[in-house]
Amino acid sequence: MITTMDCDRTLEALDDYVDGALDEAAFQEVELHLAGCADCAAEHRMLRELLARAAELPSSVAPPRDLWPGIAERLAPRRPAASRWTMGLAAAAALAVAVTMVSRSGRETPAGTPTATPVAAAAEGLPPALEQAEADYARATAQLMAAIEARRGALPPRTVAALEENLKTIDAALADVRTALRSDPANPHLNLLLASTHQRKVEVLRQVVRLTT
Amino acid sequence: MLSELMAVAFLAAPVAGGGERVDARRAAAADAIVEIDGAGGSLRIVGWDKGEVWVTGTLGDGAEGLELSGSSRRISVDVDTMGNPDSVKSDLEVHVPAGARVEVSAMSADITVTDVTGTVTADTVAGDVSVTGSAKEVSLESVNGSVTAACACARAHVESVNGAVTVRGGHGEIEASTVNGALTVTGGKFERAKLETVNGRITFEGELVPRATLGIESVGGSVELRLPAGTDADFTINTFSGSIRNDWGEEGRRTSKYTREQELAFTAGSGGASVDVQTLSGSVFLTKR
Repeated sequence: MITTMDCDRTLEALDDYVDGALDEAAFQEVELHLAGCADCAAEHRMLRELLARAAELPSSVAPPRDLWPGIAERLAPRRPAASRWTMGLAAAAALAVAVTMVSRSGRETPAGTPTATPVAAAAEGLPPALEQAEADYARATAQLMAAIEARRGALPPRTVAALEENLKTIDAALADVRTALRSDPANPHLNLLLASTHQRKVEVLRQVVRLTT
Repeated sequence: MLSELMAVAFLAAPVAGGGERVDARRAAAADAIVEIDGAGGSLRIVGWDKGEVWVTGTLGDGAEGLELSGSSRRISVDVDTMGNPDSVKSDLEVHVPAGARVEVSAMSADITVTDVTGTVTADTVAGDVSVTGSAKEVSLESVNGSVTAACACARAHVESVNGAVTVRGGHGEIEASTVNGALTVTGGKFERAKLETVNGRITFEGELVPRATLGIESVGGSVELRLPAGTDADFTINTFSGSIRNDWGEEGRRTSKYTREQELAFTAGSGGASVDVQTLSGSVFLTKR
């Protein structure tokens, strides 16, 4: 059950809400919250719009031949392309929502702070919708990183080191998921895993910003 | 009138400075909200059967003082610091009414809460967080430290970035996450559980009520579910390159001859509860107990 007027929990449940995966009580709680919260209602509208646009895109994507020579010729459809693709783009939509959440909670990017990270380059070779979402995510993450950098002096040194190590762990995990996705770009589980791992990184960064504010 | 004004000023004013011992009390309602901002060091919060908040301990060097203020329904305990709060290490014990709603925040402190039956919210950037007793609902966070909830809480939100997360004795609803640390949940009957890690090992041991949902996601960490042999649930397991071991007998099937991805979907007993596990490379163990 989701507590009424709890934005964090409502946003976490938004994916399940649009997918119809919530139980009745949780569904009603989300509905009640959206009726009274303009910010969360805007996030909901954007997610619906993204899913509607995703439904208009092609139902199959061929992996880039230059990344996996020979594999593309041998790949055979494993599931109905529409359902896998829809789930994959739903994941991209979820990623875009996360990016928007980050943008709203981030800060002005200080002059000189890089707005692109290696993530954007690493996203090449993925379906266009995911590439765009990852590029947006990279910019939003840079904002949060800049906010944390501004607070670095207030953080215990060992915590800074631990945070950097864990961000490397997440980035390595993202790289592993992307590698898997290049061999199976329409895999819905991988798409969702990519989105949720990005979400995890966003949540870690937001947590640090919030706890040090 | 003048003496009353002086009493209010005394209670709202800083009680002591750095290195000083503190001993301050304030009347509190049984269900008061008690907000504690402790900067660094150690914070012990203890629930008791008296209608007051009692703060004892020693302020760290660099502390300007302790402020104990507010009404009987909402009380604030603040350690005032000059400069970087991380360098101020105080050692404080705060007794609160057992039914209070406790909200603790620290930059660099170990936080322990015992014998509070109300709601506990505790977060620290660096330090361990531990709640024991009968708190009905907990929300615990640490960036660099372990988080432990050993309480019969009906709702738990527990997360750590760099540290282990352990929940014992819980039931009802739980959301827990780690990046690298082990995530262990043992308890009673759960209605909803959502467990996430990037590379930590997830262990879940509990029961699922009818129509419960158990969702687990890991990139590289292994996942072990220890469920009663008579569990009634629909299982959906997917791992891109990990292995699956299932005490219920059914085996995963490869989804493609070109990848190692495996899927396992089966119903145990009469089904009803939903168990969904997704990993990239973490192996999955479904164990009967």
